[in-house]
Amino acid sequence: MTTMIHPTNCFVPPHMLREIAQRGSPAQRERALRTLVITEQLRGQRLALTDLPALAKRALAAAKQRQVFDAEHGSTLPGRLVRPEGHPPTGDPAVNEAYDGTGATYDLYWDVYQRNSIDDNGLRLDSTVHYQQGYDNAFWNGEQMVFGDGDEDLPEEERLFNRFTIALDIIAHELTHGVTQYTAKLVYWDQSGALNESFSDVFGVLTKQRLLGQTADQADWIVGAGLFAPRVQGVGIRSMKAPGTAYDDPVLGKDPQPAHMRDYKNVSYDNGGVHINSGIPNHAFYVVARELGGYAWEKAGRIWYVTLRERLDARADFGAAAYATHQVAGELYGVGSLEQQAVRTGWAEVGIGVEGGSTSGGGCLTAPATLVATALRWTSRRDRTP
Amino acid sequence: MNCLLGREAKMRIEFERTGGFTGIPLKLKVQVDALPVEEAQQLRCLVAEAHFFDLPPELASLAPAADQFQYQITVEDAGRTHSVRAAETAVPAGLWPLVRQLTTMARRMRTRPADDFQVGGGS
Repeated sequence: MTTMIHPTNCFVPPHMLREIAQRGSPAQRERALRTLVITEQLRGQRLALTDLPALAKRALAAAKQRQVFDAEHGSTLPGRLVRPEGHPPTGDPAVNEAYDGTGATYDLYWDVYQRNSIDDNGLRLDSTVHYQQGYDNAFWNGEQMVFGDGDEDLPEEERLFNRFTIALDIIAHELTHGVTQYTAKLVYWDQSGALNESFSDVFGVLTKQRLLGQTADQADWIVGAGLFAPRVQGVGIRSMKAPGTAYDDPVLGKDPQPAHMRDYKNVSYDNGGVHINSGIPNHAFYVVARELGGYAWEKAGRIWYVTLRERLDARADFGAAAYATHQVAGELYGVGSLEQQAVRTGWAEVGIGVEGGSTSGGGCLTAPATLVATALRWTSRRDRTP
Repeated sequence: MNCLLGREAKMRIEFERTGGFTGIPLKLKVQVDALPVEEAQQLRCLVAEAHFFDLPPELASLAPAADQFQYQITVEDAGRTHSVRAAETAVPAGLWPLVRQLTTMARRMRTRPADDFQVGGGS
């Protein structure tokens, strides 16, 4: 156990703490709640919380709950539990990277945006590592994160990918797909899908920048740095600073990401190019962060987070995102503020106005019928999400 | 086994995997009969066991998932051509062995010159 135990936490019995949490002065309540949180963690239980006010329940739930599983190169999820919350590191780098990476992502959302996990209600963060053999991917399956080991099954000189937990921003990217699922529910197709991808890249790199203490001008803005094996000519999978320049390799080809709306790629594969056209909103975010300077998660990140949380429809296009981020910047920092101007500049550099014009050519649904049905199902679920 | 019947006919397979976190596609075109006999037979059996020609052309995922692969497989055999597009979570159990085999072949082949390519045995 690594939890710090403060001696005074042990003096007041829980029933009295709950009494104070409900009836005490603000300062007393806060102290009682903090003590309850630690007591609760130590007991590992959530007993007798039903009569607490909502605020207290929320505070008590605000603790990281992680579980890392090992698929042992099979396909069964989640696999064998190898590191529950509070357990010490194992000898397995993938396990520890998943544990620490989901922790760092939780911390960004909680410390900076006061979001308590994926569902804002303390949802446990489950990750599985060593998924299948030669699995060169990481994904979010709607309930958990899954990471492959890349090309571990190939001879070393033929390997293109390392294990997918190797980059913190990949872990934060996958976790953010969960956040999007519980907030904007951006449909994974065309521009709404590219926005879904972009939000994952944004909070992916912000998690890494915050852990490293990097300002916007110090960061490399590369998604997936370290994922390529040595033989690959590339610095990472995507560049938010210069989309389309992350790799150019004889085997893998060239990074296809556009940095401007005029280069938008209308394709039928990759769910309508969600991993390609995300370069456009990615670069807009980078420009906003560059314009504002300092730590990107503080202002640019907050504007993007509030937008994701409450301002986008499931079928939002880039134009809708530009409009919403501009509005949110005005509300958070003032109409005409430097922050709001930076947002306008960011979208302008990728060829998108903030006046709310459509960027998706009339808004026709081009997704397969089954996908539309899925989207409608999520949207109807939204009403039931607490 | 019935999968060995009709082996005189030419079989062609086109395989494409897109999506995933990296978005980098993986492609493979196979002239099955140009492969060593054992590998060719194995592929024919996997196609037959998947009941490939009876599969619907579109298998979409209903899970709110992200960064998963999509597969597009086209098989030409004895005058028939059929294409199946499937999301990773929607791949039927019977089709997985073929998907795995084609994925393995494509991953091994991409870093080797075409004429140097041999389908590996079991790993």
